[in-house]
Amino acid sequence: MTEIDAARNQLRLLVHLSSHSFRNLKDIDWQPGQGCHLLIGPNGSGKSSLLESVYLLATTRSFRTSQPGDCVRHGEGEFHVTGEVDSGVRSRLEVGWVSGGRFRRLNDRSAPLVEHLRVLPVVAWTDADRDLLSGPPALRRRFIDQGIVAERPTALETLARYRQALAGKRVLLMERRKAIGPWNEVLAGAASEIMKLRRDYMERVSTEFAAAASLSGLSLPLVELRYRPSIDIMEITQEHVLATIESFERRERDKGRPLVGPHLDDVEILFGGRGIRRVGSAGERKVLGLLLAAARGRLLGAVGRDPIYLLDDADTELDRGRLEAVFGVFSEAKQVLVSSNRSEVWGMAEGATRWRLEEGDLSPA
Amino acid sequence: MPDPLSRLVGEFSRLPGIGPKTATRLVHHLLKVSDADARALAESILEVKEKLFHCCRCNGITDIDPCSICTDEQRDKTQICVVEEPFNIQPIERTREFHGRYHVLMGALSPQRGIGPEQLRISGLLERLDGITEVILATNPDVEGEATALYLARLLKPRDIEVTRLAFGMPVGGDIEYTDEVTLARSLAGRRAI
Ligand SMILES: [Zn+2]
Repeated sequence: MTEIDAARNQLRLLVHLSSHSFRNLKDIDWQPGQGCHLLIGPNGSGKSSLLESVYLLATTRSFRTSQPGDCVRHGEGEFHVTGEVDSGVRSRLEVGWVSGGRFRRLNDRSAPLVEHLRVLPVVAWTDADRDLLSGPPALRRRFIDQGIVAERPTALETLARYRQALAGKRVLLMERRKAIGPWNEVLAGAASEIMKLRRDYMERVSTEFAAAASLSGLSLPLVELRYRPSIDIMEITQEHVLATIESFERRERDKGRPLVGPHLDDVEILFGGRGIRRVGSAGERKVLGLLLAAARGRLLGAVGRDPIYLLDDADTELDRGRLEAVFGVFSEAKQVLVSSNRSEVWGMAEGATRWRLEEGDLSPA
Repeated sequence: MPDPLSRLVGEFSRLPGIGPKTATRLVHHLLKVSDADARALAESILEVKEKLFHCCRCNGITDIDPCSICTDEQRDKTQICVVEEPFNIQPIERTREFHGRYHVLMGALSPQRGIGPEQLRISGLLERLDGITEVILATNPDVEGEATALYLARLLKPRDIEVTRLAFGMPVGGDIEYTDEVTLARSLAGRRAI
């Protein structure tokens, strides 16, 4: 059985969440059920922190910081987040910052990261994604790679191999040393795998994006998402990728840094045939962003890994009509955690369970 | 902390894989053992340093020079297996799949740590190629080990020698040291031309 088959048709729900000394949250002991959960509270009340703790639990990464130590509540030395996931069997995830280092457990034991990542697929839309469409290419590369890793955690190894080989090559070029050949070869191997994964992912996410857009009923201009690889070749093979990388060797030696490869890939987003950077309003970009989140969730659902959605400040920049339309796309989701500081715009979310966050304290609304 | 204590904790902390916490625990354990046991430990450290050294041919660890593998006439003189570290030899020996000789590079290429081809024992390998028909590259399946294998493959290409690489079924980023015998035996048996 493949990684994908084994996971098919499993409903995964976060059924219990507890956190200690995490950010500004009061210690939390929460049992969210299936369905939509609206977390309402003013700015700074801990809404984002609560979503962050779930994201961290599922992915071992924060969407706000690369330093998990930043998540420790002021005045404390460590934090713990523990969660239980029900997928027919119960799995217990734990992440934290303990004795100045990362801490992670799966069912009370240390387990490989890829096993941890398989437990609770998440798709998030947060403040960190605000500039996804109009910001620097690195954000879009991260978007694709996160999507790929959520589908198949083992892709992490390929990404790590590329990153390490690139780091090695960077040093060689910077210090004007010889023997770059073997590093280019290792790079080309990882690069061709990454390029295939990214191209395939972008094709599929475009299809699902169109499906989500049509489901929303919004009349949007045609949106095109195109993978723009740094090494733009028709047939992605290790040999072709290596040949392209090697053809840059002289220029790379002149400049003292790597000039081609997946670390320079981008995604072009056309909105009615024009670059989104110039034509989209903040509201339109928000709609597109949320539909993209829905699209990547639908992809995970297609491989039997229905995600839990984390939508932070979901309503900002959206008028009620758009909010209602976009939110409808998530209505079939198994579990959605939505935060907002305006309870009055959520009249349409009739089935949602409402929670109140005030000064880090979570209570039923 | 009294001086001798912090000194020993400091010495342990310098060992690979041992942080200050573990070092402190080890020292407190040693405080409880008998004088004889403590002396035995200290002496065995000195003994290793005094009696063992690197083989002049393969760089493996030995107490006679050349080592018993290099001088064993029963072993296949046409095959040489290249590994990164002396402690990579034993796991391969345990598989009983390989009957040739070894060559230890004493590391792997690592631009970040300033290890280039000149820092590795490569010239010694080139001097040992007379009569060799196959070189098996058994560097670790991580990025540095891969790059080292590819470097050597390029270097050996002009010579009339078959160059093969272990077919690692183990996860990339693994380490020969931690690979079980069965997996390693399979990697050896399934080695491929590079
Ligand atoms: Zn020897």
